[in-house]
Amino acid sequence: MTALALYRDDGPLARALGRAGLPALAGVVAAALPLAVALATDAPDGVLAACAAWAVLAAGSGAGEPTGRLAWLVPPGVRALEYAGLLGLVAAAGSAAAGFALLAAVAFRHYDLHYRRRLRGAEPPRWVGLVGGGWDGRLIVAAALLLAGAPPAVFFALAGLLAAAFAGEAAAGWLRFARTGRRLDDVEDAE
Amino acid sequence: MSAQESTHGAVAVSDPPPPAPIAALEAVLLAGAPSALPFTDGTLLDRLRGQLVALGAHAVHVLAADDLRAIAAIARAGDGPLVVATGGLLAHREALATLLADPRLDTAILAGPDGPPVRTALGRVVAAGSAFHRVRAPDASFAGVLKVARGDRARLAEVAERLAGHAAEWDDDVAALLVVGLVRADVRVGVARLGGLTCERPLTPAEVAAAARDLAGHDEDRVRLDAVVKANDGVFTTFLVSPYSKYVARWAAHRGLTPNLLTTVSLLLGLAAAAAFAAGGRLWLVAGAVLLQVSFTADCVDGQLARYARRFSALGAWLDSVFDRVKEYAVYAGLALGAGGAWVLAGAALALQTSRHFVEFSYAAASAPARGGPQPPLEDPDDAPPVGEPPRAGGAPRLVWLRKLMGFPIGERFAAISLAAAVASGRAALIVVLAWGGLAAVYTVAGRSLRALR
Repeated sequence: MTALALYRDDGPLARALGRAGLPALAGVVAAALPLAVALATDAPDGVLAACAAWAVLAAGSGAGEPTGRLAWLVPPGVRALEYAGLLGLVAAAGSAAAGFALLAAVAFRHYDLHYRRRLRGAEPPRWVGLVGGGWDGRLIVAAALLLAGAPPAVFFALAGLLAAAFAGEAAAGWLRFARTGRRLDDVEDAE
Repeated sequence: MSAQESTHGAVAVSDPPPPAPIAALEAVLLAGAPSALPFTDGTLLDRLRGQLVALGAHAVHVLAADDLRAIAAIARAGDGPLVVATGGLLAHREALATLLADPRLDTAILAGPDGPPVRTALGRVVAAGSAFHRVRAPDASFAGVLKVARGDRARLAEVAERLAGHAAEWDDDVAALLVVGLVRADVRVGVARLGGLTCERPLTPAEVAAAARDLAGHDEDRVRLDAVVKANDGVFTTFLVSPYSKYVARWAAHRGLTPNLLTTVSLLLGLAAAAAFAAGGRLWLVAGAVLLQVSFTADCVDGQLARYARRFSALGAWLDSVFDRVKEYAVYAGLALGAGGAWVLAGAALALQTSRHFVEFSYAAASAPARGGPQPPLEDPDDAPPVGEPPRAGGAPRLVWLRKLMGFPIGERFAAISLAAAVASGRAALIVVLAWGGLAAVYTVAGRSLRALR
């Protein structure tokens, strides 16, 4: 997978929608606008969840390898969309702290996608991506939990499960890698 | 343990510490006429041989300057990295170590200001010159030392044999021809830069005397220490941390501390800072601010120590990067807790910073230039044409620093957090991070979009 496609972190749902092949950046912008308005205006739960579903539909339709001169804007766009959506949904469910925990777990996954590729030329195994659900899966699950009236504990538990899967698999992979002692040239410690 | 740390445990306590011996290093010296020039109580060749042995070479073969077939035979016979050098070099030991002792470099050359021209791209030689081979738009010169990784020795042998057929016609420095041959054979040839060190090829006793003065004019440890400071750090790190942290790095190297140990210490200090911020209250906020700065210094030291002691590993780089993120986001959480639950602010700061990082990652991935065209055959005097535009010029120095400041790199973020938390509050620190980070995002994205669309 190319770096940009990998960085998107599309889940199964987005990949299915991506067959539509719509322009990725336009999709992200179209996804973000209603969500931004809903978040800024403290919209009711139902509206917020609907905006999250629309975001998955719109940004998912451009899933896959982004193209064009501004293709590099797509992964950070997807990132901002997901994080803002998750934080808003979980805060609406009653606990911004749980929202922060969820973002921290998801951020680990996203940095891991990049560092693993840059330092080892590797990608996480497929099952981790499936367990993670992709940005699309996480937004849908969070919206559904909000509508179902889930208490903050459920979101904390979700964050814990994701963190355990992401960090556990990454650490195990690195330990295995370190034992084989293979080395990569040109490892530069950029920020 | 990682590759770098598996071979040599303790670092000797001396000044400067000698580089750790390189396992199974073998050397070929090409004894042209200048190598017999006298230097102190021997010849230039004697000195270079002694330096290579000191760096760990277990066998040093001295060959006639044009004996390509013997080079091929040696390359096929042995196992382990092989150095091929012009015998008449007068170099700092540190200059040789820059190439030979850096585990990140497999097959690579030492590049300096004088010698046959080369063109590099992304730390790799893409065109190399000789008396016969031209190089368009050269950006460095081959300083006379070539290191061939274990896995490339067979390729070196093939190249040497092929060159032997042309030796009479391309009468030139054999080491330079080997570099051309390897590059043309699509072998990845890396680049070690001399920096301020000396590696010269004097041809007369007078030039030897001049080169010896150059050699004495540099303090090798000084140059090595200056070279540990990363070139692309932010303003705060460059001017307020690195000037003293490099001495801490040298001290740590002499104590035998490992980079990964410092990375871990930095993480623990960062988590302690987060806990102090979480406690709230003026004294705790000040304590957190101080702890965060100490943690950041330790974080700078680990990379500088890795570069000083030449201990690099993918695992070390991963720990460094991941721990940096863990520290920063733990600090956001601590600030939120200390501010009585400012979780939306902290979450927004995390979302913004992660998105900003992905602007960097994605932009770099999208603009990585193509590796260049196919290499022409060895017999072609012309090089592969340069691809892409030349690297963007830096602009006026002050503007460069201003641009870096606008980018709100990690040193500035941690400094802003410490300052705002210590003099105002945790909430203020999060707001500063959001405001400055937001401006930085707009500035970066707008600038790069305009450039991409031009």
